[in-house]
Amino acid sequence: MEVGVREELAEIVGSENLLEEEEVLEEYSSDHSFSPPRRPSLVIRPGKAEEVRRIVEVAGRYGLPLVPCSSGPPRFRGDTVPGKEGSMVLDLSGMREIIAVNRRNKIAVIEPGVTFGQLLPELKRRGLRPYGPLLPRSNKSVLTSALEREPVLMPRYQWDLLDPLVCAEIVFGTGEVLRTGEAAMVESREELREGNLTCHMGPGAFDPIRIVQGAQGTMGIVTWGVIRCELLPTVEHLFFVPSQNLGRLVDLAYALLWRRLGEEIFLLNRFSLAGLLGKNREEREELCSSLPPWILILTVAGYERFPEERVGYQEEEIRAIARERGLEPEASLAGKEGEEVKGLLEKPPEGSWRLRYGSFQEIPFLTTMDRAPSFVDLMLRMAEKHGYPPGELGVYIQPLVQGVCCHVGFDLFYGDGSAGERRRVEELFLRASEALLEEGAFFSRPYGPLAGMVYGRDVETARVLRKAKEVFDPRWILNPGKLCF
Amino acid sequence: MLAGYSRYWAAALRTVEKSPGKWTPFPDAVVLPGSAEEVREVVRICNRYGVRFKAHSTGWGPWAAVSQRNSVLLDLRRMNRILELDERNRYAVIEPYVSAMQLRAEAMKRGLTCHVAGCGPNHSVLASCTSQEGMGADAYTMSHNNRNLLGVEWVTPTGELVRVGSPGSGAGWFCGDGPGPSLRGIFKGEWGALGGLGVFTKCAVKLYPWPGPPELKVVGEVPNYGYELPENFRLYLAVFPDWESLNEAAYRIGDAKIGYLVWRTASPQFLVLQMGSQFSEEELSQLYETVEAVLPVHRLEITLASPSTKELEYEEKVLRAIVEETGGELRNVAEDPILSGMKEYLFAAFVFQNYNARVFSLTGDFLTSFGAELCPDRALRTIPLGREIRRKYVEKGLFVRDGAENFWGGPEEQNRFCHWEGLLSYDPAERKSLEGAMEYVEESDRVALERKLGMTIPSHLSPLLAERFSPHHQHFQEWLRRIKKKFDPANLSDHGYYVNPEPTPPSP
Amino acid sequence: MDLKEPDLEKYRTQMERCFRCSLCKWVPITQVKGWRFAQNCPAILKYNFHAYSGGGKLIAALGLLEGKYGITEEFVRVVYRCSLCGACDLACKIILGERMEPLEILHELRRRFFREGRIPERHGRLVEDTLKYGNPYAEPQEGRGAWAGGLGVEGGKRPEVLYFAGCTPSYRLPSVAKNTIRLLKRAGVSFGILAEKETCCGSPLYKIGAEEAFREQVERNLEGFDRLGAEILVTQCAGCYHMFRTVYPEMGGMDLEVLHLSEYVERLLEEGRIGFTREMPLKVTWHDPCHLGRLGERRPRWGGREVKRYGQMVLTEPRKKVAYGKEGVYEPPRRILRAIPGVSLVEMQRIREFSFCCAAGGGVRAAYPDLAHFGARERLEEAKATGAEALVTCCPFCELNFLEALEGRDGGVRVMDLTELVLEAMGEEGQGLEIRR
Repeated sequence: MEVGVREELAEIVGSENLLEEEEVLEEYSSDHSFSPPRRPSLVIRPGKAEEVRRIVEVAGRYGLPLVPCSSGPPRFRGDTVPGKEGSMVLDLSGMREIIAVNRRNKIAVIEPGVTFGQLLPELKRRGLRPYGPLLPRSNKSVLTSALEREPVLMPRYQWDLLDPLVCAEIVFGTGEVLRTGEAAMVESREELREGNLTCHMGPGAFDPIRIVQGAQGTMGIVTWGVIRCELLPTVEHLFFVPSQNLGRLVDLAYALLWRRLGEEIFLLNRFSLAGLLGKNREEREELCSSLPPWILILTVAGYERFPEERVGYQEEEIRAIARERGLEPEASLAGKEGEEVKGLLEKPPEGSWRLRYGSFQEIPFLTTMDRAPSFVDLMLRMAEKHGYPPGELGVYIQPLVQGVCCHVGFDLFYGDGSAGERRRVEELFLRASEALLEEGAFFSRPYGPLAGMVYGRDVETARVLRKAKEVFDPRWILNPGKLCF
Repeated sequence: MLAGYSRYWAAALRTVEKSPGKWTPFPDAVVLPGSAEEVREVVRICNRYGVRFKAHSTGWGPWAAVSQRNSVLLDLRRMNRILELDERNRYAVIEPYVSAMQLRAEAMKRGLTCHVAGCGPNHSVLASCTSQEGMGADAYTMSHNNRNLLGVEWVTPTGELVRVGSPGSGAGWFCGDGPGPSLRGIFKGEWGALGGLGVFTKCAVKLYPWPGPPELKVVGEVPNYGYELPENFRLYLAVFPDWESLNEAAYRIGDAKIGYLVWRTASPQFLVLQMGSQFSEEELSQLYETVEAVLPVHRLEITLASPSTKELEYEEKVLRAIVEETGGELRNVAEDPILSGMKEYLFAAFVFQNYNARVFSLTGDFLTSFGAELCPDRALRTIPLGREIRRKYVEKGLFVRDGAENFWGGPEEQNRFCHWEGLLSYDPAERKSLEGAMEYVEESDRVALERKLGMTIPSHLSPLLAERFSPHHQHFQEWLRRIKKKFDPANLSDHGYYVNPEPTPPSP
Repeated sequence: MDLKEPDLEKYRTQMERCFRCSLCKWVPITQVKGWRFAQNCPAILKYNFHAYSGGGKLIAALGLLEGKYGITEEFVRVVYRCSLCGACDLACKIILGERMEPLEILHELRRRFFREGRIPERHGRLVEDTLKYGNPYAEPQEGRGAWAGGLGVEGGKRPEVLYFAGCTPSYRLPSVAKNTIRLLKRAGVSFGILAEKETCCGSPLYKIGAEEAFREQVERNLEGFDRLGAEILVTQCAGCYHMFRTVYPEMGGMDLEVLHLSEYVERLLEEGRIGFTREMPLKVTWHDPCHLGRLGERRPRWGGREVKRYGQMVLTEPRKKVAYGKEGVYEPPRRILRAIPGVSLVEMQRIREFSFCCAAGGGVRAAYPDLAHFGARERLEEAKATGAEALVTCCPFCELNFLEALEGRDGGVRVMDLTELVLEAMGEEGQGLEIRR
């Protein structure tokens, strides 16, 4: 590192917030993904947005890569592992102010370090809840989750994939700050606290918020953001709809989303649900044996006025629709009551629920719900081909954008400490991803090696994205080596 | 031949190149491409010879015109197909010349419908989604076309053919975001590039559940055809003592998650005047004076619709409770002694926006003001401010006397954000009226800026007017200039309604 | 009739008023039922450039008036590749009401072009032929009544009804005239024909702006009507009907009651003078000819002015009655069809006042037959899409165009004249359509 950089950075954040100890650098050099480890040269912990701006300006001047991260460990996707030598990690987890929660406008204004564990009780106090995702870990950054387009549990209220993100303050790779959407008019922190920023569009004839969303920190760094929240129901019931046949549940999901019934809705295979509910492998195995192959989970809610009536007519109609398809919603399943599971889903666990069972790798992509079963079949064939037990494949299908598309996530597990097993799973991950891509899976969030596959296929988009990169990060200092940059 | 591409409404709109008036510059040539490949070739040829080009679909505004000579206009009329209509996944893949009324009719046959922008269903859906704005009276459930765009096929200014989102990966058209960042963010925000960033040749647009019949029964006679209200639809006027109560009710309605459509079309007098030619002088005068009793000022037009009777009953109960709590009165249009006689027409007009073009009928032109998408509490401030500004112009006889409260707007996405725009009619053929309209735009823009009411619709449509807002809105024009320079280094894709290549002093 | 010099200037305010909504290209919005049949103008459908639409021609005319350009060959094509069907006129008036008269402007534009000799070459011959032969087909005048040979048409006494056959039945589709005679005879109607004394109603001349020639034809016809002395004029040609019903009265001297054949047949049915005894199991759709429906409505003279009320709002004083085509002939043919046992009537999407023009009229068939055939094929497609076995109408000019467009091929739907179906239902023999060359 060039002489003078440390001094400049120390002057910005204080030397206590510049970390170079081996063990610290080691921590940031890898995660649970298959991304090749690489040590950063430095970890910087800013406390304020202005510090971030100045850091980016310094990094730009010296041409030093910056890798933003906001969530506490463990991390899984490789997006926070440095992709280039000499990278500096910008750990925003210390920026943890909940600037505002506004019940009337159903928004929260938060810094990137605000976690689910921190935010949920604050929202609850004001009669609000987040959109999702499915059981985030407690130290997961809420803003990052929205920036990463993590799938949300309430597709009914998701008008497009931007939701639940509204607007944000962004530091671009040029060191310039831009506030998006309705926040374009905000001039002070006090204005932010008024909590009246609800429109995401602009400013003007572009949506910079969409340019940073999904960008894995390669276009800009968000220093605060506004997220939409939903109302906490007065009454809510959770139902399980079990089935031997995924296609039938997909059919049910389509019908419910067309009818706008229910609030949260998602589908899991038995292995995933057992994993979610279990505390260890034995429990998972036991649950697995008593669960049906596929389960659709949905909640029905009532709000301020006549909540029981709302729940009543919706439940009745949901049952009728389900029965038309030979399905039956149940209030309990495999000894677990809906209330219990609902409570579980509302409480972010301390670590990732998946890590209870060893290491894992997710294959996340988008498709339409009617194609999900064929992708599952393909994945199972690939698993078998690579000697991976098909019964231990986790499947999560999340309808999105009011039912227009869905997220499919395949979880591949392997034991900690077994290099051979890890290699096999890595091989399966790569080959299966290629096969899925070939079959029409859309890797909208191409982490790690998925990026090379996707942009290799969509060369024109990569070319145009690089043009965008040249506008927002002309020195290519933001998280190089990710996506197509 | 070229004249037809050189005359539009919005005489009062100024840009750097456009003077006041309905004429716009003539293109040097008009081409009619039939496919994306032909479009790309035209763009490449333009690049080779340094000729400007501009995409044009329905041509519903001067932003469809070229802004300067030495330009080729691409009339995309031949690209008019609905390529795919995916019922289950609720989207349609369309070409530029598919109008909202066509898409809507086809979608309804399959239990779906599409968002229609406020200019009326004769607009190009693709143009609205990719390049224009896209707010409309059905926004309570169908939002704004900033939201409804999925995969896009884009011929960039330098002639690359890009498929944005899932189509680029060969995965279908269901998603416009990714891989990675969303390129949608480059060309569309609160409004779009209006031809300044190449040509969009295909897109997928989100469709919404339609709880009505596959085809609505047309009743009534020309010129006021209407639709028979299906059994499971109920049309109401929720009448409030003031705007604040109306706004409060909108919040509560959104929180209660009820309602199919919730909007407020215009001042009662404006609605009467739009049909003015159908009445004698005396009848019109009488209607003008008495209309507020029937169609009050502070009202929301609310449609409840559901295949489920229980849901309808529940929603009506909740709606009634909310309206009463907020000091209002709920009137069922089908039971109103006067409105019931025209309920089919009102259904077609309010819910389907079939007669929106009548806003032009009073004078042959039309103007709007304010109109940003904002937090509802903030948006509401538009109304008293706008009312005060327009009063003096009306009193001077420069505009149509269309009632003091001529605002069109309402809650979007169950009132997450809201839209209020101030409508008015001026006569572009009368100099004082035209000048009055231009002054009004300047004045309302200044007030919107001072009072943080977002960017006004005139400033969306004119980069010249937008320059006033830019320094107070994150210098967005600077960013657009950078995008423009990067994506169109030779500045051949008509910049006239997008951004001026060099900073232009804002109007005095 | 106003034979003053063409004066586009008096329409300047209206032309300026066009705000480019393009609704002139579409069926009224509320009537749109799908993607395929949502557009209303054959010209814009075929040629695509905006100039070919109603609004496009208005803007083009304004540019001419303002001296932005002169009359080019292309401009002539733009103006005359149009059947003056009035679909744009209706669509525009639904929005602008009395403040816009697109059809009047389009006609005035033609008057100007004709006056300056800027017309398609074929139209020059059309005028010469019509004046010389009394028909636009350049067929000998003396052969005009030949179709009536052997039908026992009586002359000599003053009939109640003058059956005006028209040029097309006389020279191209004699079967429709023959059917009509059989029908009238069977009903015991006292009728007469002008035979070789009949001459063109002048519609093509009027439409192309050849007004002096048109005046000559008017005078010839009025003379013929006077001589015969009937009280009612019945014709099945929609073009002739439009002339006699809506244009001739404006010129004075027209004393007869003018009825379209469908109106008269309906009257006969109601009076019990004819009845349907034979079952006709047939699924049919009805084509509303423009000149019978939308343009079959009288447009009374209005000598008022535009005024401003409510500040800047433009209104008319006295209030002008707007011609939406509401009062055209729509129900009589439908009632007839519904009365025929076994006939099931299905409607196309573009019907009544927003019917789609077959594109033969306005001089199009003479100068631009490809456009006429394009319009015909479009209409036949629409008919076929209903699942009907037959497209029935009662305008020989439309029928001729449909048959010519088909060129003997099977279009998937049979083209029938109403008289054929009526006669068959009456237990008589109705002749099918066949072009006489």
